[in-house]
Amino acid sequence: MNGSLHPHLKYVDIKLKRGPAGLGFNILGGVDQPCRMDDNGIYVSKIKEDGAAALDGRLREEDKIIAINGVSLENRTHREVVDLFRTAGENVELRVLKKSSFLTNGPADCPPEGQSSSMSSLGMLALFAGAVTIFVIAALYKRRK
Amino acid sequence: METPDNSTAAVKFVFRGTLVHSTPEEALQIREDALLGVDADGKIAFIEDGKKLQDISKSSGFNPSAITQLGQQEFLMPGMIDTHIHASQYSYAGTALDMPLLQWLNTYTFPVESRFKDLEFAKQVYTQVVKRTLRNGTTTACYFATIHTDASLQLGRIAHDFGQRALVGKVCMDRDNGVTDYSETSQESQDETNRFIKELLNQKYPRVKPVVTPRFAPSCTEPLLAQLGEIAKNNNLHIQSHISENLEEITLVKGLFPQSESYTDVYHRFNLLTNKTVMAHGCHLSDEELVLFRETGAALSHCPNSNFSLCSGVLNVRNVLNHNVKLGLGTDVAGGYSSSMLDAVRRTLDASKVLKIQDPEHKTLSFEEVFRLATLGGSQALSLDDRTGNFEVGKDFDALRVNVAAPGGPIDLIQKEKPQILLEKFLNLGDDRNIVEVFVAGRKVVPF
Repeated sequence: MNGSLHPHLKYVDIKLKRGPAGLGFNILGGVDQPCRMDDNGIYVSKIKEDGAAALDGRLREEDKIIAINGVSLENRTHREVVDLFRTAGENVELRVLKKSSFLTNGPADCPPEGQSSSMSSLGMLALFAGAVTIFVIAALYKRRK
Repeated sequence: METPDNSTAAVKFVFRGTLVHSTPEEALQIREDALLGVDADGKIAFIEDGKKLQDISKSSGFNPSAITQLGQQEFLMPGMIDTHIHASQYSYAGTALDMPLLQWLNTYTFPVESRFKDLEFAKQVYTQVVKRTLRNGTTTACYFATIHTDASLQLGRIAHDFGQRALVGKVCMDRDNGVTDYSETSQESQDETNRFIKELLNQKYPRVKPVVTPRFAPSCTEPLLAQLGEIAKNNNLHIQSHISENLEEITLVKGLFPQSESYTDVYHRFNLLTNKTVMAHGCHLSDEELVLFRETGAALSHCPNSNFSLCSGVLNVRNVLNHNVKLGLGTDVAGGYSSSMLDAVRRTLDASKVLKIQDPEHKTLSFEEVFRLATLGGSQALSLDDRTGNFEVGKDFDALRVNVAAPGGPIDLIQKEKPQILLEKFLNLGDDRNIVEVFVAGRKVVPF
């Protein structure tokens, strides 16, 4: 998983131009909110209809984003990653690990009340705005112990 | 990710129990039955009285039954700060302590450091040292790497991955010492330093930053020292080096820099003495030199294990503090054989007592004062005290959860003890078995 070559792993570089509503997809993950059993990386959780990513067509849900504009997203908190996306500029180059049917990642283990972050400028709400209840935070914390 | 009205981030977790830390006014401040809340940004959101749990849970928005209650023999303390450690020398830590500084460098240090051209070897050693220091409670480390840029970048990456706060220095040395070929040309040193800084800053690691690192005056030509001073100034970077460690070295510097009034003046002339500078050792600095440190805001890293192991000298810390010079502690692996800041604390106390044995009038350091040097003092020495070093609302939660009675640990308790006693026992007797959790910026980084 550390970027070493593997016959079944497919890395692609996707260039997106930020649209009026941002990049047009949501992400989950981070060292403080991992959304996979043994992987704290960043995963695409939703592609917004008619957004920049949807119109480009290459990015898919459950793809893993490894780096943005050459900056690795490994071992970052969710908030740090959101900041990196936010400050990445007009033209964004994503290094993506495509979800492949050959991989046995197991079922995604994402929290039910998605603390996903929206990569659209309107949707740049507070990560932790009132919508996220303390139960989710406590449940995540207990689950990770 | 701001909330619409830019208000504070939500509370992520809350501890209830004994807090132990230092302030500039008090070497040791203890709060029993306190509540400490950490927010989603990893910052300390509040520190309140335990009795106010219900009120605080409402005003800060968390579930009062979801807090973590510390045990009777547990406390939270700020993470310790190692202001001087050669990550590359970790591979031979614990050995090679039979020579004084200059001979030790040529015989042991330079040959080992030159192996870091090999990135696989570098990755192994750097991973070991980051993990070991984190387990030992070092939440912030100021590292010397080697002259090799790529291996040094790797150290930065590894520190980031494990969540340690770090300053990483690619070492600069262009003066041919005629013994080994572990050296750079002046141009190489400058170019590679620029490359190192650019690439490390590019990674935007929030807690790992570059530090400009001339090895020490005998290793660097004057043009290189000047260039490095410029680079640090232009990029507003930290600077680290060594100064006045042993007498032979000082004599060497006098010969190489005859126009300088003192060793300190050498660095000062090239703009390397700034308020983001930390210099290791300083065992033989004169009072005039300490005044220059004070005026420029530069700091010292006191490394007593190394000073004893290499027979370098005994720094009079009391005198340094009386001159209002910032001072932190360092392990100086591998001149110092231990990678544990607890060892640095113990050796600092020893060094202070040696001075008292030599001069009964000398005022030794108390364990409370040394505790402050290991935490807040270190953050001041690295100019990071705005974000770490003690428990203040708004600072990052860099902390150790210490259990003095950890099962299988080295400390025996026979009765209930006051927190001051628990802390002193931990400082003198404890080890990593007592450090049950380590946090950096609110993220639990140990257990791994």
